[in-house]
Order: sequence, then C-alpha cells, then structure tokens
Amino acid sequence: MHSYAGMDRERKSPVDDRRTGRSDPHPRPRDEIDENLKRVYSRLVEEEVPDRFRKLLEELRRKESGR
Amino acid sequence: MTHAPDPRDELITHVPAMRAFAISLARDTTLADDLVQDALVRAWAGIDGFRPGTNMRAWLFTILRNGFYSLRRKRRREVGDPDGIHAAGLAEAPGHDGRLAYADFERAFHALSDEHREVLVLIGAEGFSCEEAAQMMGVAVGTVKSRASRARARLAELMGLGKGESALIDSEPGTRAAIAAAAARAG
Repeated sequence: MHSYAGMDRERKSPVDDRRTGRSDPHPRPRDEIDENLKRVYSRLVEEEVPDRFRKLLEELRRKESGR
Repeated sequence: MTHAPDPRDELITHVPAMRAFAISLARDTTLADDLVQDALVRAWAGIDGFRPGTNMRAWLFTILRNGFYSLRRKRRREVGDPDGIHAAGLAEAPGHDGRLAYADFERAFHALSDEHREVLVLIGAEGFSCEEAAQMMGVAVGTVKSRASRARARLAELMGLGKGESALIDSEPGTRAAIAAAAARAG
C-alpha cells in the first residue's frame, strides 16, 4: 500500500477512534450511525489510486511542462 | 514564488478520498470516476483558487460536489429520493442477533437523498466540522446541523430499527455467518 506525504497527517483511520469499553449500555443511535458510516466509508477510501488518475495527473503535468 | 512547492503535487494523495466521496454521491462507480476526473482537471486548471495552508481536501470536495449537482441539474432529473420512493420496501428487520450487516446499512444509505448522503459523509464519515461542511455545501451552519440530524433519523428509519435495537453493523462482513456456523457446530 502506497503512503503519500500528508496522508498520515490528515487521515487517521476513521475506524481507529472506535470507542471500546464504553460504559454506556445504551449508546446513542447518532454515534452508532456515524460509526457505521466510518466503517463503510473507510472501505471505499482504502483502495489504491487507479492508473486512470495517475496517468491523468502525469498527462496534465506533461502538457504543462511542454508549453 | 518559483521555489514554492506546487500544491498540485498533493492532488494524488486526495484521490482515494475523492473517489469514496464521489461513489457516495453518485452511487455508481463509473459516474463517480468521471466526477473525480472532471474535478481533478478543474482543480489542476484552477489551482490559483486554492489558498495554500487551507484544507485541500475540502477544496477538492467542493469542486467535486459542485460538479455532481451541476450534472444533476443538467440532466433535469431528480437523482435524489426526497419522498423515499426508492426506499419503499427497503426497511427490513435486522437479523436475529439484532445486528445489521454491511449490505443492510449500505442499502439504507443509498436510499437517502443526495443532500442527506452528502452531509452524512462530510460530517459523519470524513469528520469535517459543521462550519467546513457549510462552506463546502454553500449553506448556513444551522442548515448543515439540521440536515445532518434529519439524515441520521431517516437512515435509522430506513434501517427499520426498533427502539433499543443496536444500529451498529457487524465489525467485519461475514462475522454473522461465522457466528451462525459456530452456533450450529455447538448446537
């Protein structure tokens, strides 16, 4: 898995802040919904950058330096 | 100025998050990737509009969501679901263990309106502040708060959860199946 400068600074894994051992036997639905969102969303985020976008950015850079 | 780092070098680090946000909005990976591509091209050309030191992800997300809503207007069709038409029949009771599977949650999430999915991703999943989200969405902070609150309520409703039932999904897909298998072996 590639790691880019700035990524670690900005993105703690959303799953890491899961509250374990909380004493409240009735967690608020709001917290649970946000927790679900983080779990589902983090599965989308952790994918590699597709070649399509690497190439696009390389192409944009190349065109510009060619000017 | 010539020695200042080019903020465009940082664009690629935001692509995974841009894709996740785009997929959440578009509910379709092909359209999502087109939105990301369009946003990247715009960001590249309009990099002067980015103020160094500010949150680049918020800036990129703003470009992306503007592209999405602009496309929606162009298509003159309502992709959202304010009346819950798509949602009809979606609400299913959670399994006997009282927990939801990923698929249940995703289905309910996808049945939300565009605006509700957007605010939940920005606030709930990405962790932007209400102030940041308000700026990105071009609405008042109070609007963000009330919209987020309504979106959560709607989501809970779509998941068909009764009072006292846990809204938390299984921590890993397959957990429920594994537990069921273990229970079968034990029984």
